[in-house]
Amino acid sequence: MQKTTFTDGSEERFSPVKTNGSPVSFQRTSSLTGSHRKVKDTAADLHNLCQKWLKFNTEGTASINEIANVKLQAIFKEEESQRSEEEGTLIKAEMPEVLEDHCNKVLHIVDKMRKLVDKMEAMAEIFRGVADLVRHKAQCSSTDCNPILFQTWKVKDFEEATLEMLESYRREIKLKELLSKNICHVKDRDCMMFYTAAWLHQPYIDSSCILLLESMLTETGHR
Amino acid sequence: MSSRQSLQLANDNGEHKLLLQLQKSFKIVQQCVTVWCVVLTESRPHLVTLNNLTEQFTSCYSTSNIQLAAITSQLPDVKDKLQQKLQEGVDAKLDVMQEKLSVLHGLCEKISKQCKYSTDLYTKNHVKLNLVMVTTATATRPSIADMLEWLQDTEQLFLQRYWARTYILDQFRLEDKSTHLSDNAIWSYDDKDIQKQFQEKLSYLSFFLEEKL
Repeated sequence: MQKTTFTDGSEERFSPVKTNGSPVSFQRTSSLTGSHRKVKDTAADLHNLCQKWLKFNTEGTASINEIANVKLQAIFKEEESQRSEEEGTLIKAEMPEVLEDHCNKVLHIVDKMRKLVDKMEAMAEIFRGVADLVRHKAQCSSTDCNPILFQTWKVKDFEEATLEMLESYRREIKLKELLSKNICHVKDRDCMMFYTAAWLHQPYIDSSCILLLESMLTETGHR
Repeated sequence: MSSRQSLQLANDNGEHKLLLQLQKSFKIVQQCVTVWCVVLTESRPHLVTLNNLTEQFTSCYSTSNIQLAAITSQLPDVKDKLQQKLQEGVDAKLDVMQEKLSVLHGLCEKISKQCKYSTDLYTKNHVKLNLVMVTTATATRPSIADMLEWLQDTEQLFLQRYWARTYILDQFRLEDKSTHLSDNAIWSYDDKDIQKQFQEKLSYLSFFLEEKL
């Protein structure tokens, strides 16, 4: 292994992977102030929001499944009554009252999810505000207009990541609103399966969204 | 003359070696059968998830945009996005199934190897071994011929099940409902029948497997 000899005579083993990184990355959490504090706290809040979103999605899945079961039974009964009508007997197919309860539950969950997206928008605003502040400070004191905050990311990266996540969640909440409003009017099994799958798998929240959040947490030292 | 002494005398004609090998082979096969059933039990929940995902994909695939007009009018790409997500889920599960299959393949190889060792040893010594010696069962063990046959039957059975599963998994196409595993009997088997068959043979072999040769 190669050794480096310093002027004071001391020797240090050479390590090609050693990196000093940003001085800020070595600061203890308790001593963080200003933009760093704000960004780190907002990243943690964003993570908490995503966790809550997952919880609501799971709760919603249970209700959606209940609705699907009730509806499928109703569809089956309807088909049976049509057959009976043809045969001359009359069986009246009615929607059970429990369906309304489940629908209200889903609407309530979607409402809570909408609030989470609103909060996420506020967080994106916070990142935008910090980025603007850093730019403003740079103009006034001719310092680096886009400094690295923690390890590799600049404020702008946090802002862009949050906006990208926000866009996904906006589209997802739009989908959930449409699903919750229309699920009771579905008339066939395949459509019902599509609705339940769309709720469960959250098509607009893809792996890049999770990656962005995890990167943000790693960057800020939460992971 | 004790059975041990008679076996030592039989050393010259290779019978002792062959019996030792058969004993070892059956012990290894016994372990393989247990692991085989464990692997299949472990793969069951993954198979159920895979079947659910394929069913969801099929429904999504067969639903037209007109049926979903309430949603697609505002989110036109929702169907593609959902299909992509389901495809990712299916791919992940297929990877798990492939991993399970590779474990089964390892077990098949182990059984085949033992079968080959025993058969090779018999082939090497078949001139020295007389017909009566090979075909006669004793109070403690079945005949050598029977044991060799059982070993080969077991090997064939396991290979057959392994290749059938591999073929069916290779044929799997998400868009083609006929290739889905939910409609497939081979993947629905838990191979308890193999275990049962082997256990039946083991009941004849219990003294032989415990015997100190």
